[in-house]
Amino acid sequence: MSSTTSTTVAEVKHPTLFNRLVPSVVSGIVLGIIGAVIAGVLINKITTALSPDSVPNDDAVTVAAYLGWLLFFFIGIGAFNGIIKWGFNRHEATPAEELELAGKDQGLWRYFRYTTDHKVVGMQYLFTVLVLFFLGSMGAFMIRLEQSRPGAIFFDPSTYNTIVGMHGMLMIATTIVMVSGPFGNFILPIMIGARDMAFPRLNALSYWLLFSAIPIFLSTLFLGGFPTGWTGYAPLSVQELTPGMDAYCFLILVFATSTTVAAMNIVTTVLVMRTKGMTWGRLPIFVWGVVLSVILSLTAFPSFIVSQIMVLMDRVFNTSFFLAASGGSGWLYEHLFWFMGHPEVYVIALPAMAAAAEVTAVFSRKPLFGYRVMVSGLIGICVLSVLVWGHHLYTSGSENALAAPYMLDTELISIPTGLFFLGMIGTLWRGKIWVTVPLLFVVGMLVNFVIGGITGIYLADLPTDEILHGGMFVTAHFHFTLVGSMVFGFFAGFYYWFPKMVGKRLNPMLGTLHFWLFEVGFVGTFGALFYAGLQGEPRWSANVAPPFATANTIASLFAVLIAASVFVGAYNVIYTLVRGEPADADEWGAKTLEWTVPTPVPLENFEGELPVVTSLPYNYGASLPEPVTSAAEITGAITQAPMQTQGQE
Amino acid sequence: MRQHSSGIFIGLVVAIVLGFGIVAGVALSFRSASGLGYEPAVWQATKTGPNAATLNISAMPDSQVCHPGAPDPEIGWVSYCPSTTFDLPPNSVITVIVKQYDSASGLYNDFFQNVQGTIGGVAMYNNKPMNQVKDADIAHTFTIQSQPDEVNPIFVSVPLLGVADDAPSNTNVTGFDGNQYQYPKPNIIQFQFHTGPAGHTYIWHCYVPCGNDRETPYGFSGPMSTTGFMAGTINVTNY
Amino acid sequence: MSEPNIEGNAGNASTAPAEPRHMRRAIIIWIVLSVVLIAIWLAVSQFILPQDASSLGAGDNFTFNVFTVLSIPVAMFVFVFLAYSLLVFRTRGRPTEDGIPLQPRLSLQVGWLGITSLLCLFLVIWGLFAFYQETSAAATPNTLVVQVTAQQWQWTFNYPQYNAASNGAQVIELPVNRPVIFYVTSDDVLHGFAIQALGVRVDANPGEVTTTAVVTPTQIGSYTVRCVELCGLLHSYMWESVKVVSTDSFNSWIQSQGGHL
Repeated sequence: MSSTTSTTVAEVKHPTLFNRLVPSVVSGIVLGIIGAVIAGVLINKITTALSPDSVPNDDAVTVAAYLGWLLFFFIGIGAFNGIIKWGFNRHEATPAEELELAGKDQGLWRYFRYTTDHKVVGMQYLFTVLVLFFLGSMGAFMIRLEQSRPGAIFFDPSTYNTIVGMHGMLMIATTIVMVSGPFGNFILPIMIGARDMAFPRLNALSYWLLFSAIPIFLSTLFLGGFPTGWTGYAPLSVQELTPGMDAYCFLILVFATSTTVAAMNIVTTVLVMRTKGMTWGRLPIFVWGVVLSVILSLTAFPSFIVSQIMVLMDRVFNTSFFLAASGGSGWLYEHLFWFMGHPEVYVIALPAMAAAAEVTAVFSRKPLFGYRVMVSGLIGICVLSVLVWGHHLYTSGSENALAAPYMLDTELISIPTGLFFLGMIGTLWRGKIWVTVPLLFVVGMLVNFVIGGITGIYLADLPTDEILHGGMFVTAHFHFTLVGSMVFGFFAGFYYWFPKMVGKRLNPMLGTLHFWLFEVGFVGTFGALFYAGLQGEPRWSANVAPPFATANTIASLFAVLIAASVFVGAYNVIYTLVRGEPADADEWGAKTLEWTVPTPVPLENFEGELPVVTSLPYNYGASLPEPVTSAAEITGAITQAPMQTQGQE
Repeated sequence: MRQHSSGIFIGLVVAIVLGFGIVAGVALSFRSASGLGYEPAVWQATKTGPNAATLNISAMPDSQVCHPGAPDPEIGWVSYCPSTTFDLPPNSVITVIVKQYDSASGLYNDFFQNVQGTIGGVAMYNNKPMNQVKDADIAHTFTIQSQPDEVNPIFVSVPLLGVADDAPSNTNVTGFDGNQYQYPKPNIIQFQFHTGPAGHTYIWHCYVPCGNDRETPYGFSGPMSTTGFMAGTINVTNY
Repeated sequence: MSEPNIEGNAGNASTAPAEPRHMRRAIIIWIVLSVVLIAIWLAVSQFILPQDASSLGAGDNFTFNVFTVLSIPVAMFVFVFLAYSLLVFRTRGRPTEDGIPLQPRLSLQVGWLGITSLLCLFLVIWGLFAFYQETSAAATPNTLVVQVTAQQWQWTFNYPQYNAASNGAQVIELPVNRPVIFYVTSDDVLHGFAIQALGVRVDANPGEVTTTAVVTPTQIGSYTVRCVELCGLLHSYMWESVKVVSTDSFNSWIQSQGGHL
């Protein structure tokens, strides 16, 4: 593990072009395509031979091709290298071999290999998330384009349905990983004082699983698309004849596996890799947010995988889990899906909220207002959210009595969420507030989250949901929570940690422009859609009915601002990468551990000994001279400050 | 930072222009991605008088005639021909003549065994007027419906009589690719309806679950769920 | 909704005359804005809320108004304190000193939890009562039964008491002031049966018959059935016009559809 012995190893290596390309993502893709073709052709021949009228089973062929792609992609990228060498207890990898796997002295090329360094994985996640956001936002603009006027004006309905589904699925998948992926991998281990994640190779696996799922999903464009939207409701998904639907199911299988692997890794890392003195009471709140989020995803995602395996069974093997005519039930799918689907929004929310809290403390120059209260709030959300899924079935026609407990639980979530707001406002109150781009995004998040949260009340409550369910009001509500709140939270973290991760400073002027365009466009777009929803516009309308035309036109006009904000943001990233100013090691005056290490962060994060932690990382004002009020009052106020309690382990 | 500011500004403008260019590019490529469903070239009803026109179409059991380039499995899909996008003149009596080459496959919903919305409430089946076809004898329906909240609604639904399952394929049909294809002798179904003022768009669809030979709910997938085969639009317009 | 002790250091400004009374100012702004916005909402809500043309719709809209009146102070609390902090406590450029490390007192924590819990309980209990009131009305012999069958992409309607079926033109009629119950099912995939103005909304499930609450249309007019669950290609074209008409008009319409009175 020492960094001095390994310098000699690097000098011996003179990588040829072949050594660089194999193994790497290039060899992975080449081999993966070969594998997909072989598997597809094989299953085509087999199913044709088995079929009584010599017709291949298109779904089986598609699924086989995806499996072939996955297996051979991971062979090609070198995921299996070393099993023989290091597996079966033959011998442990040497420190030099481990550093080689972690991408030592491979320059930028390490980002394109099966590299185990958590910082490389974090950067891979970050840029993948940005690209996926860009692609997903394109879908959003297509939707706004089509809905800008009544009638099927631009796309035919089947194209439109595919666009809606792709936009939804891309954005959901991206938002699930947007904070835990880049910041959970890059920042979190440094924050807790670790040199890497607990399972570095699993870390690489989780990223490359995500990567390999992207071509699978995009292949739907060439396989006829899918008509179901992101929820993929059966039996419509089973009915759909084109294999584009299989791309959706398979994306979920691969993506959920990737997330599960990442979640186990993060949980283990935080459980066992915290540095000396980093007790649970001293964890930065961001770590709490990520850990709670991934624990939640561990409970939620298995049912996601199960539901899609069952859909694929129905499609490929003609089983009938979801076909009423053969004894199945669509309600089964709805329950399986939403058992994942609602906890999943809190999987997205928790780390973004926690990142925003981190940013708020730094830019208010104040300790978090009630660290323990805020953490309790996050834990409360995590626990309660497991049992709220039934509110998606209020109007499913199930027995009405079932709705009451779901309604109670859903409303209860507003209590821990309230604790979070108390902490955020309390932290800002009377702080020394430094208005930077990250803080602007936090403010936007709080504003949008209040709107999103309060409109959620109407949807959680039975009598009002009766007039809103399945309508545009729902769309506007969850965009306010997921985009307005959580994606804004992501951007707060993005502008905050980008200087540490990339080593360059994002342009604050462009960042401010990005924020204002986004916020104004966003509130305008979805504010108009709230109105459309109240007037009764259904979701997923390829064809906007005339009564909702005005609201939709306004929404589309505001969406132009969102589009502009996306391009400003993208330009800012590219501009900064090319000619941004170098960032300081402690860019913002923050006190968490990631700001104590140099920028760029060295391979094993901490040069020399690991740090020892003695307090929460929010001890702002601790060294202040006697404040304006009497000493007794201040001490009275801070006696519950957690930094003073919590004994050593 | 100051010396860069004009450079940043120019870059910003370029980025935004480029960005909207990308949006336009994505939109155009989705529009032209025929694999997701497409709108074939418009087929206009032939005007036969100042306020009369005739629409000649056919219903085919596969796509060889009208989608000669379609890959498997689309080439085997049932399809209306020669197009699914129709233009009709306004305020006219439209005579629709359908040559129906496919065999019967039955309905989910008896509602569609009635002839509805035509002039006189009947349709001519091989020159014989009927107002209903037996469920089991129906191959397709030609059902025109309005868009939501349409102020000039049109609703026309005509069941199309299927040819016998064992009818010999002895009729030549010339495909788009110039080749001759053999089908059974078609049933000729003829009916009339009125169009309203110009500038309104309607949709039409088939309500026989003919998309696949598997049972419920498979019948409405494939060609039934893809524009260009068993679903399309009708524009009432001056031409 | 009184939250005067919401901040831990409410008292400390009194000992420092130079410092403005931030807490008192913010609370006054909050109260004034809340009252003004509630008044504005009550004035404009009739233009924003859905049309209520039935017994259900009116109740739903009343609930909507109650919730909104409660929500406005909650939202304003966050907005006012946020805006006040940002405008008053901001520094020019990078701060050179830290803020006062305030921490919430136990009384504040308990008070905050108490108020949010009370609000939350109120929403739940109100919602349950309102929902119970809406769904408790049982069908009587006078209740009009309408069987709704969804399929891709068309609604069909049967009136079994009249032995009639809707026939064409995508229009059905309902008599005003007579309770009606819809039995909804689907022939293929999941659909959503919704008449917004009547407050009727239930999924059409294949293989199941689901029922709406008994609803009494109260206003003559034309409304729209829409599909609110994505059901494939022509989902957004799946509609039917619903005309609520006088009993006489309804009787003649039902006969024109082949029904017997």
